[in-house]
Amino acid sequence: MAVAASSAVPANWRERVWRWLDQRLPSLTRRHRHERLPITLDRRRIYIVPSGFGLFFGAMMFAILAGALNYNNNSALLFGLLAVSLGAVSMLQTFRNLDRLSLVQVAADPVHAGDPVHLAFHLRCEDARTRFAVTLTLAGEQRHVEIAPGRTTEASFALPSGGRGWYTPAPVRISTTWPFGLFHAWSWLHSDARVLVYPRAETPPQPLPRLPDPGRISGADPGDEDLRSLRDYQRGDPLRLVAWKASARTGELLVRQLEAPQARETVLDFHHIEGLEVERRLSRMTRWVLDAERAGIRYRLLLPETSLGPDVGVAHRLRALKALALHALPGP
Amino acid sequence: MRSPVLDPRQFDWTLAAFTATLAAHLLWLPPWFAAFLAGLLVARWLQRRVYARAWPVWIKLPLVGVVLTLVVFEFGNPFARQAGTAALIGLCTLKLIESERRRDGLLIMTVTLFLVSVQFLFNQGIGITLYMLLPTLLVFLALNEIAAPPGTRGGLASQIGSLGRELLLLLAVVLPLTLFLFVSVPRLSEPLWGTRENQWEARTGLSDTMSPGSITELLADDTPVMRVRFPDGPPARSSMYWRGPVLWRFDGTTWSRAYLGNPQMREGRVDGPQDGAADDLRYEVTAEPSDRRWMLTLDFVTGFPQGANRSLDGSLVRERPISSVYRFTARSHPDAPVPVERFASTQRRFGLELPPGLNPRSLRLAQSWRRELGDDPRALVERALRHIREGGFGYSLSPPPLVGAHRMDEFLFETRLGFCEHYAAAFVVLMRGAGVPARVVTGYLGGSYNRIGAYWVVRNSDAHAWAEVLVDGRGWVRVDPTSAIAPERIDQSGAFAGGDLGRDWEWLRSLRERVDAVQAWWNNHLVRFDHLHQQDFFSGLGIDTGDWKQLGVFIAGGLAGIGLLTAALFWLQRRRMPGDPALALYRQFLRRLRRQGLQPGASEGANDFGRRAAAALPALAQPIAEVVGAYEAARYGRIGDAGLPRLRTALAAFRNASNRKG
Repeated sequence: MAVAASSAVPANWRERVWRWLDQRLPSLTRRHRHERLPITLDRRRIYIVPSGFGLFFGAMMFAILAGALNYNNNSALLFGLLAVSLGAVSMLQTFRNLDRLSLVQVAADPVHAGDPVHLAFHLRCEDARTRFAVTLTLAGEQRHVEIAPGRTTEASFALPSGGRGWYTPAPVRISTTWPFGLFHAWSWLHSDARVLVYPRAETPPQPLPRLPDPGRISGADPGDEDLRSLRDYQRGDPLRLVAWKASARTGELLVRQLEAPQARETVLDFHHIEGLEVERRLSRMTRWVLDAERAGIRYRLLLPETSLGPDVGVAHRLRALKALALHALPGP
Repeated sequence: MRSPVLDPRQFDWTLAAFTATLAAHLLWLPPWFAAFLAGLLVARWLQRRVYARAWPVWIKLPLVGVVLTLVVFEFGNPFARQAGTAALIGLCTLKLIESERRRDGLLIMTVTLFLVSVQFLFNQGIGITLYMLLPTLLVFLALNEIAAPPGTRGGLASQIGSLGRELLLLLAVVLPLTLFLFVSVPRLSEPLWGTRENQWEARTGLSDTMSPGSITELLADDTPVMRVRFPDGPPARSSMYWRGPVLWRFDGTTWSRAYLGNPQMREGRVDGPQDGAADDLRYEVTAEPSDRRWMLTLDFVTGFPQGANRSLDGSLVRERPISSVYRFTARSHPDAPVPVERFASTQRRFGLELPPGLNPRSLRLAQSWRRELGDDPRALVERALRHIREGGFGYSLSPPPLVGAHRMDEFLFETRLGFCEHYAAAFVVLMRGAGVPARVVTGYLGGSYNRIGAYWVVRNSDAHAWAEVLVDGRGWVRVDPTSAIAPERIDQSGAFAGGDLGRDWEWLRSLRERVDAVQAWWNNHLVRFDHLHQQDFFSGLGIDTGDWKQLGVFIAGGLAGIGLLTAALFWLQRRRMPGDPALALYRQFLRRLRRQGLQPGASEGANDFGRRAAAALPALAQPIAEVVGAYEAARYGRIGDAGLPRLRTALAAFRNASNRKG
């Protein structure tokens, strides 16, 4: 049960509190439930509290009003009340700065494990008001955006992708203190968007396996192999490809290159790679898929549970990479 | 986590808001102190443009010492209002010098709001009140800038286009709310903590001593002291003597009040409130705050309100100092002498006291009149006035200074040039020398009529001093020796001494009247709105402020009304939204399919619905799929609005196909 997508960040007390809340009060936090896009914020899911500065401001206003009342100073009272009214109405404005704001899309291209996932959160106003100084927080990073009406604004994050498989972004906290910093409004965006993380492509690259030509390999004398078509043995090479004579001559273990320029088709077989653990096999096969595509070679992908192709082209590549990414992982 | 650094724009807004507040305090701050602080602010601004760092501690710490020393040096007691405010302003300036972070900015802006309200303890005029809107607005704009996270723009301050709408919307809600709260917040009938007399010092106005120059300072000051309405018509201008403190004691230089050896007198508690006779002159005084207890009235005051007492020497004294605009109605018996009601012998004794050994020539002159005319006070008064009228005396607001020990001698026999304070003082010395009890009265004379507001305004520049002599059987009779030398001073007060431009500049005079009428209106309706006026206001609405239920209903109703107004404004704004263009096009598509009896389910997305529609209308499957695909791409896809043309094309194709089919 290795869920590669979960964040590897150790849980501090804050995280633990949130996890507890998520379990106990999911309707309050709305972090836990994945939601379909677009997510539109409304009053049922926007939370607002006075900020620390707001509390200080309130205490000062209380002092001003008490003094003005005591000295019966109506001008001071009027200005105190003006400031209080501005502060009170700013609560509404802070709320409205998030209200009817939509997360319409989470755009992300699939990546290979180890590369950062680039997530772009596309935000849009559902009405004609500009949203100022909106902050998105994800994995301790913040992005500040201003969202003009009528077009989509995006906030991008680059996050470590972890292992292969489906990557599900953690809930994004969307918050604002606009206009005066007296109140803090926030909400959670937990979309059902997910990103496929392919296995890491192996480096250095291994040559593509040649379509096995049983007659040639078994019949011909390996002795007259041209040294140019030999290469160093690497773990996982089939033993029957080892050029024993040449190896004996050079003192190094050499294998025959299975490159046949005319052969425009090959088989990438999971079982054919020997002596490697699963992840490394997948990594090598990923590299082969990429190389085969680049070279325009038709290939068949053979995994324990699936068989794809032979084919070549974008669709085939995506299918193949997806199959590699999700090999032996549970669930969709 | 440390607070983020103030970026230059945030710093500038903070500085601007604070500077605008500092400027309002210039009305009372000593100019050199303000200049010192302004210099610090300019230096700080220039420095931060070059190098955004706080000033090092070896500069800051001595500056704190300097500011506090200056404050104590200038104001004395650091806990009094002026000193405390000056210290706060100084320390806030120093805080700006070390402010590099947002939380510093927020702190300064909050303290600045406090300084805005403190300003009103010094001045509540309409001009300054309107001006204070500027610093208040600047504070909120600065807060708006500071609230914008690093790298984003503050909305209001930087976005003129959106500014208009958001700000108007804000004000449309905030102003009614402010006014409603202003009317509803219950006023205190008694202060919760005290305001001791003389705690607030140094507002210009009558003092209870008269020393050389004390009145000259007033004559140069044009600020109104009070406004008076005479509902039954004004008295002659020459009898508008507004009585202030009565001065008995003379030490050769300074005149001061006397306590006639009686504790009641010291308390000022002689006569309680009185109604006055029905045919006495009635008038309504709206006094500007003076922080003094004098209620200036005409002689002889017979009717006055609760909380005021008429002292033995005929002045009206309030129990508490007038610290905010105060209105009262009084009645006077015009030009009647002040009766000697009690302590006649003490009054007589005090009225004859002279500093021993001083002014021998004056005394010799007075005694010669006495020998000549006997003890008839009237004849002696006439003789003294004739001496002033015919003795080569002149009227001048800047007479040569009197410096010797025998100042009255100097004035009467050498300089012979002076104004009311000299003449009143010299006259009283002569009378006492001749054996007639006499005293100096200070106050104001006359006033100028405001045609716009139909009231009289008395300014500090109308300050005056005159004399009273004791006539047996009548009481203290007013004698104004200045009238002997400068009768026009009596007839055209204000115009004569205050440098009034009005005579030649009619339009300026009229403008000034207008401005003053606005100020009077402001005082009556806003500044003076206290506990009692609030009760009046509510009973005018049929609400008994004693009944919490009624008051609660009013407040709840008012807040609900403002809430509705807010909701209506926001709803209007929401309705005006242009809508999502992709969504609008997609809705056209849905309308068309509805005619075919196809409608998306409540939770059916565009894709699912599209598949269902395509299945239901196989002939249109291709156009439908194209529309749905284009819609998804335009609305949710990476290309965004760039996908709109494709959606339009797809929609047109779908329309054509369905028309052909239909």
